[in-house]
Amino acid sequence: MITLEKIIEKIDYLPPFPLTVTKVLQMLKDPKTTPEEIADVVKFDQAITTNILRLCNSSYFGLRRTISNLKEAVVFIGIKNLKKIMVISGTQKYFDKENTGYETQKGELWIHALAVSIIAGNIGDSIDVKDKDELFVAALLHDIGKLVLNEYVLESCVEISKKVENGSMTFLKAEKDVLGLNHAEIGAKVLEIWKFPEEIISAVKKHHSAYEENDSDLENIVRIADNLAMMMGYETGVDGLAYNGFSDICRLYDLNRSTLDNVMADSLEEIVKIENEYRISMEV
Amino acid sequence: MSNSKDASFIIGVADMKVTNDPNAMLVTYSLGSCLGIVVYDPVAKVGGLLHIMLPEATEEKTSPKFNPHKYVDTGVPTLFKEAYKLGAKKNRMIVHVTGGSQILDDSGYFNIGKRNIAALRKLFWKNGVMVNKEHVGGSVSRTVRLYMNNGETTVSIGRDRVIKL
Repeated sequence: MITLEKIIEKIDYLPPFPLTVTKVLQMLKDPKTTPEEIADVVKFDQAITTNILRLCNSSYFGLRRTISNLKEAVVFIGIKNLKKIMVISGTQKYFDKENTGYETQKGELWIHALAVSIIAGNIGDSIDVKDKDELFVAALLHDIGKLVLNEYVLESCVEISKKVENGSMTFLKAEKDVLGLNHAEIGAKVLEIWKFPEEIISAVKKHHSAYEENDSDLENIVRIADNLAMMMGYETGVDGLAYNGFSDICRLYDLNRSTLDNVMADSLEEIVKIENEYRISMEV
Repeated sequence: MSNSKDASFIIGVADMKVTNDPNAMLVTYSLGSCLGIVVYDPVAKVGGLLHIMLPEATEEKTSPKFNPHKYVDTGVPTLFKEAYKLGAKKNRMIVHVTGGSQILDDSGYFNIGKRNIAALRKLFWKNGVMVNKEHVGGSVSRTVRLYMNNGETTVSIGRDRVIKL
């Protein structure tokens, strides 16, 4: 088994979460922030600037002219989209890895993250959740722990898979049995080190834990969105669908089968679109 | 792409490909609760792969945005019709069904895999279509490939398991 110290050492090797992203998210909480002020912060981050301009001019927005000025781009895509682009741009690099332990195809973890964040947004709309930005971030980062555990999983993959296949043991239980830690706990640890807000850390930590009374909307919606993404096939290959379903949370929010069907049907187009824009190349 | 050697077609979620290109390989990745439905006529050498997500369409079917490949009730007839157009005959057609996995929950909220399979069986029964092989259920994620040169269909699970149907 691996030790917590070893894992934390691994987290230290991860490149830090970009300051530009956290700073802009903070700025956007103030409704008086202007596009100029945002552009002034973003312009120092080459990767994010490029990403914003690229997305602005992509088929996702279907513009007829080309936008080459960052300020104009910020105005055009709007605050809501800007937040998403910032977070996605800041996160993508962590997922762009070869031969990961959880994936059977390169890019699966990333597409799963995007899918869960879109589905969570749609559930959030239907039950009118308060903080949609935090929901988006929590959903996008919920499996960040898998990136840290990745190489250990690759080593222990056969052992874990056997346990899952030989019975109805959840992947999470098998992961804990073999590695001594699960990816939700590690994910929370990563976000703690990156100094993320407590609500987001908690949603990541609990995303496979049984529902408890007084769990927040954020914690609950990430769990359901993760369930739905798995069913839609946006899971991560190795662990598949071997996780518990949160029917108690569905009951709590009065999400019936047809509502869930509709959320999936409505989310699909958006997932496909964003998947094409942010595709990490997959192999045939 | 259809004329090149070893042409591969990736079929996404709610997507379909029907071809008579003998060099083609059709693949759909990670079916969760979705179904991958394969048809192949060994005489006409026509084959197709459909990746549906839900049992039946509740949205407006006449809308220009409507995607029939999302649902069993609209996708499966489209798959057969497209195969017929290329010369496939129903009585010769080999049909394989894969996917329909479930997350671990008995409440019925998440039984889309089972509902997809039930809807497909009902539709096939009504239309006198026999399923040759199926690989469905459980909690695994499946990747399905159809090789057009001989109609061989494989299901891959996890990193190394490959099952020939």
